[in-house]
Amino acid sequence: MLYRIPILLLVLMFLPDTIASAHHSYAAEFDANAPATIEGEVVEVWFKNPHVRYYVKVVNEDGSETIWDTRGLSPVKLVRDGWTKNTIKVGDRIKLFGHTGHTNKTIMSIIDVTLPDGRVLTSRSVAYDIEEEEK
Amino acid sequence: MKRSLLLVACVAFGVANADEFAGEWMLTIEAPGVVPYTGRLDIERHDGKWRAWVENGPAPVEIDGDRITVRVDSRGRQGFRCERVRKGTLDDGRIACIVRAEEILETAAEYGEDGSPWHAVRVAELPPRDSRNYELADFDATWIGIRGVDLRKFRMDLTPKGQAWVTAYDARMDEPQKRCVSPGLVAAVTWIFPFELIVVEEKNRLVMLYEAFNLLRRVHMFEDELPEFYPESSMGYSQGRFEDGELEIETTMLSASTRDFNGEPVSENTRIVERYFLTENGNRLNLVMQMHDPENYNRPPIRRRAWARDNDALIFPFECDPDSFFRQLYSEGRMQEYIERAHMRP
Repeated sequence: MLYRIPILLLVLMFLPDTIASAHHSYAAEFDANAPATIEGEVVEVWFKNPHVRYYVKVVNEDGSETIWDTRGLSPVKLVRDGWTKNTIKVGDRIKLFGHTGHTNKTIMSIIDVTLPDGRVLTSRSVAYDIEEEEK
Repeated sequence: MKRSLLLVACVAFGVANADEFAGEWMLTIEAPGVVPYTGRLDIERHDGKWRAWVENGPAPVEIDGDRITVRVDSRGRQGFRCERVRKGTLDDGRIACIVRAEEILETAAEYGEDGSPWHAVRVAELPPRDSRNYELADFDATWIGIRGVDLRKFRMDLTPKGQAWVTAYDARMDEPQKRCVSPGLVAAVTWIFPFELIVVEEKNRLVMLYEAFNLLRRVHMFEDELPEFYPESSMGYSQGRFEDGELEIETTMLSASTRDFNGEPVSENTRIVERYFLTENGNRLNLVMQMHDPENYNRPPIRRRAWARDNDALIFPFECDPDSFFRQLYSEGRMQEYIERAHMRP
């Protein structure tokens, strides 16, 4: 099930610095006006640099299935927050929120993930917050 | 209420005339939770028309009496282009005002700058940096990126050759890092990944170990000659000097590559100058980087960065596997197109 979410500003207000350090031309691949939520079963985990990828099988409204190619930050950033290769496993049912690709491509840049136990993972940047820096 | 009063004050005390805007300014934009963004603002008048550049990239400007509006495009936190509109008033040799929500376009909430102040002071009137108390050994540390500082100016002032390259560039296919290839010096240095700087005094050498792509860099200190035979590479050959407590690194012998996220080109004749200095009792490392490449840029792009000292931080290994990139190309039926674009992968 795919839900288009029109409230981009609300998303941006609560978005941490997750994509700030994405080291590619993000805008060339993803659509700022197409944030969405998908839910499905993880069929493959690719926990490697330059970007983590989760391949997720989504059942569409008409009963057909689509494999989404979803990607997150670099593992070196995620592991600093305890998000490891074992955090999301093949067979897990997860909900992902992120920016989707141009021209309806079934790709997504992950903003946050809801795990089977209800926890929501939102990765943060390795950059120090100014408050931390001043400690 | 307080903000309204400040806005009125900005207008009420503006008494200068337009010509006083011309010159070199240092722009500072405050935003919650980050070190203030800074950037060079150059304003010139040619044939009666005002022109401006921020970090040497074009910034459309309107000047009316003692009032100025500058539009600064930036790469937002989400990677998309956003635009800051800065309206201000010249008063007693200083440009200043408070940012209002309607002056931040497209990603207004992203930076949280509504209500935050900005100002610009003449470069000539900036207080001198007091770096003399620092030794080269003080730079030896593990450094972690700090949020803020760099405006991440989006467009630069490109020559026709540079513009033609950018127009042809397709980041989805051409970006080297997608293939796990080094993204080049500018990107490596300005990314948020941490790095370790090791001073090897007995060899007059600095070693810089970047987490990003496991990049290694040697800086040859106090050396004037370039080696006769040295392969060009995207990280180049770096020579350093240390004077008055500041570290200057000049890099040449670069291979053709790209500068940053837009695929802006770096020619083989490029010279990159980095100036590092310490502040905050030596616990903050600051960088101003300028790239001189007249083949591609009419004005040399400037980038800035700052890091916090953290010698307990670990530099993680960065093993990279391009499999997922090629798999995506294959699944989207673009492999042949990728092969035909070899000329965009210098």
